[in-house]
Amino acid sequence: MLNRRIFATIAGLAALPIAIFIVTELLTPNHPVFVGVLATQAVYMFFLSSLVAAVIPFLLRFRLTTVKRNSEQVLSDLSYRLRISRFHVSRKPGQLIIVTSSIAAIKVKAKKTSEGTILAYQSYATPSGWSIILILIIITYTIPVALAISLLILYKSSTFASNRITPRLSQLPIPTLQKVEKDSRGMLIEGLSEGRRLSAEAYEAARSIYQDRILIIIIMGFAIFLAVLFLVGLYFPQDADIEAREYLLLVVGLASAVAYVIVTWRILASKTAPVLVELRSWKERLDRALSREIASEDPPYEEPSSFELMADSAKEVPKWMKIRRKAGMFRQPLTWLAIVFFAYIAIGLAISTVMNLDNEPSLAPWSAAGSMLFACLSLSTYLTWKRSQREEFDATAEEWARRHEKLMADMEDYLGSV
Amino acid sequence: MVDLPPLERPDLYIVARLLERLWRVEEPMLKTRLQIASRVNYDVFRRYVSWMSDRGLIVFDNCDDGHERIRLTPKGEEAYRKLVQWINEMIQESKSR
Repeated sequence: MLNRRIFATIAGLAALPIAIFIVTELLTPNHPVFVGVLATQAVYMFFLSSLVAAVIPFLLRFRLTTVKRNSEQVLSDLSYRLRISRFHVSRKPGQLIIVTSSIAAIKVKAKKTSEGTILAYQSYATPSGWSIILILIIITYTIPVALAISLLILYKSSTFASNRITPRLSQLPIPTLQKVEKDSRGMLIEGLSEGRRLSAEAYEAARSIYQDRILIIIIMGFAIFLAVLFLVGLYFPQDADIEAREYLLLVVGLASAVAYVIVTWRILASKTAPVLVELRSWKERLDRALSREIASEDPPYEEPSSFELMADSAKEVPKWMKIRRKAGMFRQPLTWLAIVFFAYIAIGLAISTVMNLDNEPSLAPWSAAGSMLFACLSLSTYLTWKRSQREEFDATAEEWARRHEKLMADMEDYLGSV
Repeated sequence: MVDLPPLERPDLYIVARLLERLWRVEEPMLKTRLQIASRVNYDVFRRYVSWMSDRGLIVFDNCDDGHERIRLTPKGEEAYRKLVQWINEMIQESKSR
């Protein structure tokens, strides 16, 4: 059930850009500078308020309930119950992040008070969700679509909170005999669930990277189309028939762009497909094993034991973390925005250079130099980010592999000594 | 029956596989069924069960029906629990990264 406060928030945020558009349109006379360039100030305000309204759902916090128990224990019980119900749950101090769909997630935060623990939730998005929202914002004209997605995520968070979280919070605490000595079944469920979460997140991240790259290929294809139109147009005999000239330019431009998109897409797909298949296979194997453990069923003889699956998945963890980090550029929005911003200015100045060659030749070297400077800034920011990611990953992977090897050797020694 | 040389360093995965299967059934298991579950050939299987029996992880039960069955001892159960605990702890550590 959607409570009144959420309904009012969603309705208010959806109506905000329209209201601001109408008010601005009524109160502000059209400024001559904007006429014919950005249409009116009202349109500009509409997009700006849509952007603000698209961000607000991720900042709002809604109270769930207050429970008279320790905050970490409440989160631990909730996390266990949600994992048993096969949700992806990540736990951080004082909060849980639960993935509710391919784009939506929810943060549950616990705060200690004198009355007990206050639980609240906040909308959140998966890496795919963040990618979609940011791309829609960058395109600018699609900001209202980003707003619609943000509101959809808020709606999903709210229904998830009332249908899935609140009932679980009212259940009795889990008797923790595991605290003294965890039983094997409980630990198998815990380990398989975490392995499943990591593999599923890596799979989602790999898909998100693939989709982002497809988008880049399409944008590059469009850029190639424009570049071919421009360059072929420059060298095309000026005395040729105009209609034939336009038709030929269009065909050549389109053919070049389509050929580029098809070839690069196929190369990308052939590189990505094996990774996606492997990740999906891990996700499904861990999923099946987890379902079996929850139902206390035995695995078929031909399938690996749950222990083997956990040991093998532990070996895969650095690879999964690397994929998640690769897709995590959107988790560092400032770096990403700086790269895009510099590249945007570089492209703008490059276009100015071409235009200046005809109109103001004396300005062309300056705009060309500016374009080069911003292109270098964009590239160096990207390369620095990439190098730091790689160094961090290499260190983690090396340490993890060493620990995994040592653990296996310790286990063998333990068995040899019993 | 030919005596097979004892195991020097057993494969962790095979031992864990046998322990897990016996832990799951909770009752003595037919030797032939356990061999199928172990996914190794009969000679290798014999060497493993002998090795595990020497360490008190399993015991052989001769049943009235003439079939030999294998059962997990409390020590075997504890050994399996420890293996699961260690690997689980390593997986849980990924949360902090």
